[in-house]
Amino acid sequence: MANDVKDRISNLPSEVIHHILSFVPMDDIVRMSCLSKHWRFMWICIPVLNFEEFADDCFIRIAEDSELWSIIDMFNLRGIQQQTFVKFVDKILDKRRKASSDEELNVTRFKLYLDHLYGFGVRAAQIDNWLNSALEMRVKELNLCIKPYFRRPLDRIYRFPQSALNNARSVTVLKFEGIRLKTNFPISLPSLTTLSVINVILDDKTFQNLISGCPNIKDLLLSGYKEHEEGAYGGSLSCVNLTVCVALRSLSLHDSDFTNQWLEHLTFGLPYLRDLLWIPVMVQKFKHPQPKPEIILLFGDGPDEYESYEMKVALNTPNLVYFDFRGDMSFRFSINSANLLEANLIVWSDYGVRSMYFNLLSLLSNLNCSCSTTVRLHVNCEEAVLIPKCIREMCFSPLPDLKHLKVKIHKDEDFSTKSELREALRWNFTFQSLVTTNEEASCTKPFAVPKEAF
Amino acid sequence: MASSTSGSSSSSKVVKIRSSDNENFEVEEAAAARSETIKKLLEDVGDDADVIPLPNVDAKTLVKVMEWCKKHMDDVDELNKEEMKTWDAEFVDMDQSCLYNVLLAANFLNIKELLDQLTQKVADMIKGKSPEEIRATFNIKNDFTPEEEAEIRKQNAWAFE
Repeated sequence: MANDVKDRISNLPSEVIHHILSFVPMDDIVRMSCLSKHWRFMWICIPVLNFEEFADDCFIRIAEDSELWSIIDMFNLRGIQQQTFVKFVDKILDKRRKASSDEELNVTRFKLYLDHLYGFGVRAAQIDNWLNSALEMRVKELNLCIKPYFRRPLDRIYRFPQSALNNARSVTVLKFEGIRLKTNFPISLPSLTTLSVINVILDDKTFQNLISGCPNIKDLLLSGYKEHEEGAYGGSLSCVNLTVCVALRSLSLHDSDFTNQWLEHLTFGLPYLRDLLWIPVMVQKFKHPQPKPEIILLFGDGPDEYESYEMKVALNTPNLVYFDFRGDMSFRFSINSANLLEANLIVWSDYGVRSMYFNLLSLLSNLNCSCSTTVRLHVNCEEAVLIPKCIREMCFSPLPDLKHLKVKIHKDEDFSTKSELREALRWNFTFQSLVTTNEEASCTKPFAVPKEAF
Repeated sequence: MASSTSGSSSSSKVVKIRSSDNENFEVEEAAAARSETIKKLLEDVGDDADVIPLPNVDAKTLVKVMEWCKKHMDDVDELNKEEMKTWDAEFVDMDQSCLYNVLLAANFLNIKELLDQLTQKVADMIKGKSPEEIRATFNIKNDFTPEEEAEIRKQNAWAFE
């Protein structure tokens, strides 16, 4: 019976094992050393150190395994849990730092995730020490996430030490979440290629200082960059000159404050920018006559009942080849891109609203696409594309030149109205191929519409 | 199944790949190019490529990998995100021997996203489990004597005390 199933995990190549273990918290990996001889020293060889605050059940297991149970103070379980975690990180980092002179035992990534412990069991000085240890080992990737970040007074938010920033010259990936940053001096991080700043409290000057010394950033993600409730910190990206990141290829802006002019100015100054993503859209006009960007992703919520202003975006981007929009049908944009090859529109609308048809028509006609464009239209209900005859008689087809259209309908019981659908779409477009898929059935059932039907 | 291509996109090019057990497949180029390895091979050989041999991947595994590639050929859109998540979760929910085969194939073919999904799946099977549970899950043979194992457990405890 013993050999009917083989132990294959132990025989996986080490790079695959390391990849798997990069998702496993360090305490689990230490505990795995008694699995078999193969796993005995795994925790000292893995290149990714992933420390996650001990979950309760996990802590109970630790307590059972060690002698902790016998000395445990039942009235201070939480306190012991916290102390145990701090000591654990201290010990592992200490061991790994001593071993890190050996090329084979290099640490490439340090990840620390705290959910509730910061300010309780884990003090700022301890995190400072851990970061210093990690940087001493010349990690390439530093990932620091401290939660929860809401409703926390400023002095209870971990402040990333200036000294650590100065020592991070070899770091290529920096990911911050839920911390504070403050520096009055320019920082130099010449190796940095990826920077992710999520719900970090920092002022404009600090951010400028941070990015000014990072000429090689290719990917930048900013989320929640805006005025902090308590004033003093935070600000608007409009005061930051992002064009110092000349190598920038991909820029994601989520839930941050900036103006149209800033965005326009920005994309003029960034020659390599390819992917631009911003959520939500607050920009009214966006002109871009230069040969970039090639890809634009646009998220629009549309004006909701609480907002009286209408959102409009004009894209004057002759070299745009790929356009992706996801948002409400009532969102207004227009594109002027002769080279557009593909437009991907994921739109939704309140079901049954009559203005929905007009919204869709104006959305499509504003695409101004040529016959070589492929349009993918993804709607949340079949009705949205079933434009009533009376409207069809009133309006012109929005996309008279279009040859390739793919329509996806999100919720659809069955295509009982197939012929109606074709009829409506036939008016809409003089296309060559039409694909409708019933995604609810979770399989793709493409059917080609016979040409003679049109 | 992997070789069936829908005529949905008139511009899609088809490439031929061959598994280690000499079975040929026709796959849309956009799907096959999810593999960095295949993509690079295609660039190297150009248009006159006949069949691309993949000596490390058998037919059964290749079908599975290409099923994933086809599904992930286009970028995931908002409405589909949840659906895709469910699909991915179902996809990685396969028996272990198949899981390792696909994992090794994803590693060889250099399909980063698939590799991430599969390694994450294995990691989830490890996380928070006791050594006994992990041994049972993965059929790892304990080659320590009881005394050795007790000693290691004692040594490990230092980390948590």
